[in-house]
Amino acid sequence: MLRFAIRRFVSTAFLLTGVLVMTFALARILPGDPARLVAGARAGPEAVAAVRAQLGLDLPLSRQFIHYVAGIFEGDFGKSIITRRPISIDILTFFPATVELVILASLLSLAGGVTLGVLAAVKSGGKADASVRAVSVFGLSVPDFWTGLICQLLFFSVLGILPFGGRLSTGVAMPPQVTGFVTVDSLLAGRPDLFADALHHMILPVFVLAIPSTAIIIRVVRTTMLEVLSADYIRTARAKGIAPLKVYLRHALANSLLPIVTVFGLNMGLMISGAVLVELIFNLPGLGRYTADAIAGSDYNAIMAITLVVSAAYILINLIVDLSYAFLDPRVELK
Amino acid sequence: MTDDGIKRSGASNELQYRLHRRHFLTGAAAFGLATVGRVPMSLAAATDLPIGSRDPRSLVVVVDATVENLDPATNVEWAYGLRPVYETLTVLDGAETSKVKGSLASSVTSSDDKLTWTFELAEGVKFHDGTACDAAAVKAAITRTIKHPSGLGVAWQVADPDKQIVAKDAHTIEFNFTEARPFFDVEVSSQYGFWIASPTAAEKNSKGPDDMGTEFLQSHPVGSGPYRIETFNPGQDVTYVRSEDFHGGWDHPHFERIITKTVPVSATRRQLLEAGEADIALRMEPQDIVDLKNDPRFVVSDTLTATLQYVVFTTDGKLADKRIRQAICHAFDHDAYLRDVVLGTADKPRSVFPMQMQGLDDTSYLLPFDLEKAKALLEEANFPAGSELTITYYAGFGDTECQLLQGWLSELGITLHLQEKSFSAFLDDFFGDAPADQRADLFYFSWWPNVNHPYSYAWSLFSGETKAANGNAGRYANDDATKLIGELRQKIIDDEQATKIRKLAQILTSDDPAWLPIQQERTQFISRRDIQGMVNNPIYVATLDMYNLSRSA
Repeated sequence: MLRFAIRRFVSTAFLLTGVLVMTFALARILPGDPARLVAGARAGPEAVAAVRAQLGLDLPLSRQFIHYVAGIFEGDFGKSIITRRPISIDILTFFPATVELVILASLLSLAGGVTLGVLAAVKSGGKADASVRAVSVFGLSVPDFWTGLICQLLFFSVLGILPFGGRLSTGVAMPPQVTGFVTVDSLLAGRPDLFADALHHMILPVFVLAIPSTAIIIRVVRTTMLEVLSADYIRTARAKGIAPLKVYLRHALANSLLPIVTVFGLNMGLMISGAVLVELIFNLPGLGRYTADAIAGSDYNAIMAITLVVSAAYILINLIVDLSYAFLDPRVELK
Repeated sequence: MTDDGIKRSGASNELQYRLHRRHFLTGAAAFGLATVGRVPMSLAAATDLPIGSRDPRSLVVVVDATVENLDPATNVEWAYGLRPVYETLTVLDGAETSKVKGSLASSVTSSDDKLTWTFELAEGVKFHDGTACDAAAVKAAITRTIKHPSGLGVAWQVADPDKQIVAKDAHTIEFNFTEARPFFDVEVSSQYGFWIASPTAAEKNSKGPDDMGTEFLQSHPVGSGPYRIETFNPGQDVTYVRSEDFHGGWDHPHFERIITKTVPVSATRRQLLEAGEADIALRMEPQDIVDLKNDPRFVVSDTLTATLQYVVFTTDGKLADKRIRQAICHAFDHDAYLRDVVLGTADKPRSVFPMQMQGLDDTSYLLPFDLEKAKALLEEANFPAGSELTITYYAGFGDTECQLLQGWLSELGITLHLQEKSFSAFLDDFFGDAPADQRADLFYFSWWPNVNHPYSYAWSLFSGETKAANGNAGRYANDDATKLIGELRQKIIDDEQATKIRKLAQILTSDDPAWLPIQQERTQFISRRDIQGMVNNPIYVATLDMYNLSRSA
C-alpha cells in the first residue's frame, strides 16, 4: 500500500508538471496584454510599459517560466491582475468558502443519495421507488442555476425564511480566520450565534449544489443495491431469518460501497469546479466566483494558479478514493 | 430485472408505478398557488418597507463588483470605494460639473496669469493613521502619485513635483506651472489620481520603488475622509465606520457605518432591496430599473452621466473615406434602440462629446437614421454591396448594440462580422499599433471626461498628434479638428472657444465622423424612500457622496 501511495504521488507530480506547462503556455498564447489590463484603459503608454516591466512580461518566455516555477516552490503564484493581491493570499481567502460548501454539499448528497437509493432499491417497483426515481431525474435534468434562483425566490423573497446568500448576515463581522471555514471558525471563536448564522446561510447553496450529486448517487446506489439484493448470499441471509434492516445495511449496502465511494469522489472533484454558478447566485466569495472573475478579466496568473490548485485537489481526492478501496473491501489489493 | 435495474411486473410489461400526471399537476398547482399567493402580500407592504433587525444607523449599499484596489495613486476602477475614505483638494459642488467647493482646501487662489495656484488647507485635518494632513503631507502624497511607476500621475501634468509644488507653510501649498492652468482648481477635483492618501502609511508599508505602499493601501486605505475602513472582506463586503476626527464634523444625521456588499447578479440586488436588506443598489439591469421606478417604496435617482458609449471607426483602413463612416452613422436607429432595447434608461447622444461639455448648446450633430441616404453615400464612395467589415467588442459590453448595427448594415449590403474578445485582448487590439488590415474596422467602447473641458477630453481621443496608445483608437487625423483641439488647450470656455468646440463637434460627429455615438449613459441609483441626500454628479460616475446621506425618521 505504501508503495502504491508513493507511486501515485510520483505520477501526480508528473501530472501537475504537465498541467503547469500547459497552463503557462496557454496563458502566453492567448491574445491580450495583461500589462494594459493592470495599468487600465486610461493609462498612457509609459505607464503600460512600466507595468509590463514590473510584471516581468518583457522577459524572454523561458525566463518567465523559470521565475514562475521557482515562485511556485516558494508558494508564490504571482500577483492577480484584478485584485492586485498575491494570488496565494487570494486562494487562501477564497478557497475555504468553496471547500466548506463542497464538503457540506458532498455530505448532504451522500446521506441523501444513499438513503433514497437504498429506499428505492428496497421498495423497487413501488410508489417510493417511482418517487425517488422522479427526484433523481429532476436532479439530473434541472440546471443548478435555475434551482438556485427558484429556491432564492421562494425561500428568501416569498417565504422570507432563509437568507439570499452570503456567508453571514449583513453587518455581522467574520470570526477571526483560522481555517477559513466560517462554521468552524465561529466555533473556535466561541461564537455559537455566528455558527448558527453561518449554517443558516449555507442551507440553500449546499442544498442546490448537492442536488445533481444526490441524483447520481441515488441511481448508483439503487442499481448496485438491486444487483446485490438478488445475490445468493442475501437470499441466504434472509433465509436465516436476519432482520431485513440488517440485511439491507450490513450485507447489501456494505457490499455496494465501492461504486458509491468512486462516484462520491468524482462528484466532490466536479463540485469544486462546478460551484461557480452556485457561488455567483448565492453571493459566496469562493474560488468559483474568483475563477469566473479571473477568466472574464483574463487574469492569467490567477487562472494558472487556480488550474493547478483545482487539479491538485481533484487528484488528491481520487487518490484518497483509491486508497479507501483497501479499507472498504479487504479483497482489494493495491498494487 | 432489466438492464436498467427496473423491476417490471409479471402480468404486464408496463412500469407498475409512475408519477401520475394528475398527481404531478395537482402538486405543481398547489406549489404555484402557494408561491404566487405570497407575492402580492409582500408587495402589498406598499411604501412602508421594514429594515428588519438591521441597525438603522448603518447604510447598506449593494454593488455589482468589489473595488479591489483602494490605493488612489493606482486605482483605475470605480471610485465608489475611495470616496468615503479620501478627500481631494476641491470637490465638484453637488451636481455641478464645472463649479467646485473646498474639500481639503478651505480656499483657492490663483495668479492672474494662472501660472501659480495656492491652496489654503483646512486646519487640524488628520489622516486616519493620526498623522497630520498638512501642506508637507499633501505635497508628499501628490509626489507619490506622480512618481508611482504604475500610477495616475500623468493626470497632474506636473513634471517636477519636488520643485513645482511648494509647501509654503503648514497650511499653504503652492503649484507653479510654466503653462497657464486656468481651471486647475477643477482638475484637482477629479476622482482619478487626485485623492490624497497618507504618505506616512505609504512609506511605512512600501515594498520598494515599484510598490510605494500600494500593496498595503489597496486593502488598508488611509485617507482623511469621513469614513475609515473597519473590515475588508475581498469579494464580499467592505464596512466603513465614521472617523470621529473628520474635519467636516458630524452635525448632520450621517450614517455611523456604511457597508458595501458585492452582489454580482442584478436580480439578487433587487431582491435584497425589496426584502429591506439593502438601502441602495447601484448598476441595475434596465428592466429592474423600469420596474422599481414604479414601486412607491423606492426612489430612482436618475442622472445623466458624462459617459458615452460609441463605435470607433478605424480611419486608416477600409473606412478611410468619410462617406462610408457617414453611411454607417446613418444606419443606426437611435430612437428604436433607446426605446426598445435600453427601455429609456439612457439618452440619445448629440455628438461625440457628452452633452454637458462646456461650450456646447442643444444642437445635435448626430446623423439621422436614413438608410436611403446611407446607400447613396456608399455608392458615392464606391463601397460595393457585399463588402465585409469587422467590429470588436469585449465580453459583456456592446454585444446587443453590435448585433443591431449588424442588422441595419445588412440592409445596406454590408456584412458586419462580430468579434467578441476578452477585455485584455480587446484592450490590446484597441490601444495597439497593428496595421489597419490586422485589426478590426470598428470597436465598441465607452469613455467619460475626467474634467469637463473639451481639450482634456478631445486631445487624446481625436487629435492627429496622438496614437492609439493614447486613446485615439481609430487613428483619427483631421487637420481642422487637430487645429481646433490645439487651440482649446488650457482655455477658459468663453463665446469664442464655444464656437470652436461646436465646430469641432460638427467635424467629429457628422462632417468627418470619428465615432458613431450610441448612447449617453444615465446613472440610476435605486434607494429606499427613507434615504435622504442623494446627489449624483455626472462627472463622478457611479459614486455616491455617502457622507451626505441619512435616513429619515
